[in-house]
Amino acid sequence: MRARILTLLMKLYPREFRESRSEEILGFIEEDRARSTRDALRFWTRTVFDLSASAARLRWRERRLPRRSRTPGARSSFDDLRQALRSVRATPLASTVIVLTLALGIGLDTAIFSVVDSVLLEPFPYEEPDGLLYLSARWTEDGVERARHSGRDFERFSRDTRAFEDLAAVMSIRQNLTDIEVPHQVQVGWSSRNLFRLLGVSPILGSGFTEDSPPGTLVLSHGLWQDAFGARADVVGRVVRLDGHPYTVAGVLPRSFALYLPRFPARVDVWKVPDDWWQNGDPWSGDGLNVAMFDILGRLDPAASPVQAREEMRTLAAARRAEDAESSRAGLEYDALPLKDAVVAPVRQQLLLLLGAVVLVLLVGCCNVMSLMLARARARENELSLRLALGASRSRVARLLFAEALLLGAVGGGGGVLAAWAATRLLESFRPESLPRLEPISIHPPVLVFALLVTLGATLVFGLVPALTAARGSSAGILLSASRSTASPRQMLLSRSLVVLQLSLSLILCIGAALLGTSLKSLAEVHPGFDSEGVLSFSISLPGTKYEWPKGTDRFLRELESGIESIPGVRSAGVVWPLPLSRRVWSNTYVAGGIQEVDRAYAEYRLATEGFFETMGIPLLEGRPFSPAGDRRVAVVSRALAERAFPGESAVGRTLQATPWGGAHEGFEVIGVVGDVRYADLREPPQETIYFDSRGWSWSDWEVDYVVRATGPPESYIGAIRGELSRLDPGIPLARPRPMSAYVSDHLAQNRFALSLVGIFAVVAGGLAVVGLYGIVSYSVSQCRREIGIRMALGCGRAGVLGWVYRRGAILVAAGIVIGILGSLALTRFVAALLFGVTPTDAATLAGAALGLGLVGSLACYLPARRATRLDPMSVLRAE
Amino acid sequence: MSTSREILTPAVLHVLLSLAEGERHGYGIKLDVEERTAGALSLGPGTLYEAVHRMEKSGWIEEPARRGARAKSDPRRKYYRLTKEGRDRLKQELERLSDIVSYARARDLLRDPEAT
Repeated sequence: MRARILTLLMKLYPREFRESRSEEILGFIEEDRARSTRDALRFWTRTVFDLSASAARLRWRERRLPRRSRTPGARSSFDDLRQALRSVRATPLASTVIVLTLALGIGLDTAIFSVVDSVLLEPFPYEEPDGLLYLSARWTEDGVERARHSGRDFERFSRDTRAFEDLAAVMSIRQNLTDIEVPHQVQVGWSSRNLFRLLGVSPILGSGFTEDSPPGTLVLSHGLWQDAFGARADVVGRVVRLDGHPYTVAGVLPRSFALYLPRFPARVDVWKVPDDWWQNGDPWSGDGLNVAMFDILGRLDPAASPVQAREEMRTLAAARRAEDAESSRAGLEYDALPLKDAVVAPVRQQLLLLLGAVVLVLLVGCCNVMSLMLARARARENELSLRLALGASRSRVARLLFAEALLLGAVGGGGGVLAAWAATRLLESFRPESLPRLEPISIHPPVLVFALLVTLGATLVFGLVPALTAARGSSAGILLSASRSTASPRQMLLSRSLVVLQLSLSLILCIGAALLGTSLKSLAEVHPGFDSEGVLSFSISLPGTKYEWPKGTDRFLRELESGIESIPGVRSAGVVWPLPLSRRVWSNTYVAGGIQEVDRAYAEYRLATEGFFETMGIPLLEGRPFSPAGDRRVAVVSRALAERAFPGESAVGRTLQATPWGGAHEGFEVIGVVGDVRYADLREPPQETIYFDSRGWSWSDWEVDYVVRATGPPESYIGAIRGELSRLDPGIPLARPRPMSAYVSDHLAQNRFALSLVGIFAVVAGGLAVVGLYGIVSYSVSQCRREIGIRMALGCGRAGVLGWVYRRGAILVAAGIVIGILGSLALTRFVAALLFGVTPTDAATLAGAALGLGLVGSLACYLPARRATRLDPMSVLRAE
Repeated sequence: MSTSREILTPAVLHVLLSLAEGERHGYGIKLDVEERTAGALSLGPGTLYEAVHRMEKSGWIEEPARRGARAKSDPRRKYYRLTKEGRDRLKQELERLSDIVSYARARDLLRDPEAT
């Protein structure tokens, strides 16, 4: 590809230069690329520019030197270009619109295609990525959809499947990394020893994990190696501590490495070999806790097919279901999916939607270019037939038109490259977290070349075909009627159809944007049940090696809470786990009042202090909150739970049974009822929730979230809070300090991303369509000057003329709206999954978008119509 | 540039300066120029070979008849050296520049105006 482009560039040079120098130049470029420190895009831009500029200088010089050997062909191709430039400059408005349309079309398309390409199409950066399968599970436990495996499952899969060459299991938690300069809370990946071998990834330093790596072996990510270890080569063999336990660094991973798995943290800082201190027993073995916390991925055996792997997994699931029908794993299903499909599934639909939308924009753009090219060709019929009559060969005329189209296409293409660059910057600035790739969004050269070729091709076809038809007619015939150039009825029909098509396509985009806008608005209006403004959250984790549970941890958490409350400006602080909207889940069954054991009713579980309710503005509806003393036997419940379990009576003073730590139900006294909170998702109704007194359970080796309400911007307190924390214990890092409003915003991000893009597309397409409409109405006014003149001379008033012209455009608008609404009824169901609080066929939204486009369209018809009324009938008739 | 009065472009001047020290191939010239100008002038492939092409046409540089052992490492590499005309032209250009500098010195234009 690259070689082909370079060969093409060499063609720019004069033949003599090319023949004697191109081999040398190509060698030079090869060597330069190998040594250059620039990134590829910048290097190639510079090189291409340098080559084109020097070619132009050499050609220019060659022209100035009188040379007999110059072929006549060279002369006329240069002349073609000069003439084309002249005629393009003679019609500045049309040329500008064509160039801008091309630039927008190429730019937007390249940007969106680049995202789709990098997320959906590019293979993952592992060895033979097609052979990697993700072993998915789906079952329900404790009222929650689960999708992970236990160590026991892992052991069974390894034993009972034949289709896999190798299987690896991973999980991830957060831990404190100490014994380094600044303690960090890091994302720790637990992996079976074969993970990197299975992926075909080798460390850039050290040996990494080997089959006999002892527990306590650690591998660093490239990022952490640079940030926390200053990229020192002697890091291998160094001992650091995770939550107080010693680990030996055995390697550093390459910069490009990231583990792409569904719902897995995008960035893991350190990887460690399984160890057994954290759980009672080795979590990997069949004897360990049967807790489902692993993701498993497999390398397909070369002799097996993916179908075979799926079959095996399904058989295992069926055996498992039959084996313990009574188990809480209701509806267990296993599957083996290509890793890539499993990872991109959540965003596939949204990206395809954007792709569809941007293709619509491109179509509207092409229609526009085509209409304009048609109009240009019509306007030049006289000129072309004159050229033919004066003896220009038909091929000469065709070459001139070709040069014009090429010139417009090249300038538009250049603009397109700039627009693509700007558009990718824009996309990067508001990419949602849900996009499962780490690399920054950048222009993919093949995509850019593709978009350039498509649009250039479109320009050439649209520029040449109509022009050639115009030139084909008998030159004399055209000359005879040359005093007035008119479009043939067939050409007019084509132009009008193009405008209707543009209007209907852009209406579809407008309706899509309006639906997404309405959804975002209703989602943003959902009250989460707490007041996120002015609240800062962060988390810490206390090492069990230093803080004895429960007394030591409880004392520390209390001291930190009062320390934070003493910071000037802080109004209140509280502890909670898990934080609302943080996508962490903790839930289990309960029994209370009218809810019996057989109902298997589920509630969200939360640990909280009394300060949590106050800080988050969650109203106390009845009873009292927790007391500062701490009491493990009491609970506060949400309104939804109280109403379901104790309908029509007070929940306060009653007893409920729950099992926060697993095992049998224990009794808790309900002391208060608080307002409902949407803990999991803004889209879902609030869950029934039970709050346990955090002070009774202050744990170690697990994170605890703090919320702090203060006056002024929440972020401004991070420094002071960090100071309090390090005063108490400098070895404990402050992790993920973030305003609560950022968590709310995360839940809107996906919708905001789709809306912003579709909104931009709708505006661009609508703008192009309206320009096209304006053009066609103006053109028909200029064509019908004579008719308008006669009408006015015969006594038709200005209002009559206005209506007559206006109707000619309005009928196009009406047709566009009808077709657009029909089209959107067929297409908007594809956005249904992104909608909230509005249906894809919402009449008000459809009508609103249609009305908006109708109004703008009317204006585009009205302006030329009003100009028509200003015609002086006598001068028109005399001129004709 | 076939006339001797024409002022040389920076690319041509620097290629002459590089070759004044001995024969070099294209990429070697680029590296030498970058080193001499501390990276301020970085010749792209088009600019460099445009200059080489024109200088060869004007007879200022030539390919040595016998290639050194170094050239065997990559047969695509061509080495260039200055001809008598090239060396004269370089001298002429340097004299012109030096005249300008002497003039500026005499008028005290090279001194830092702040220092006065």
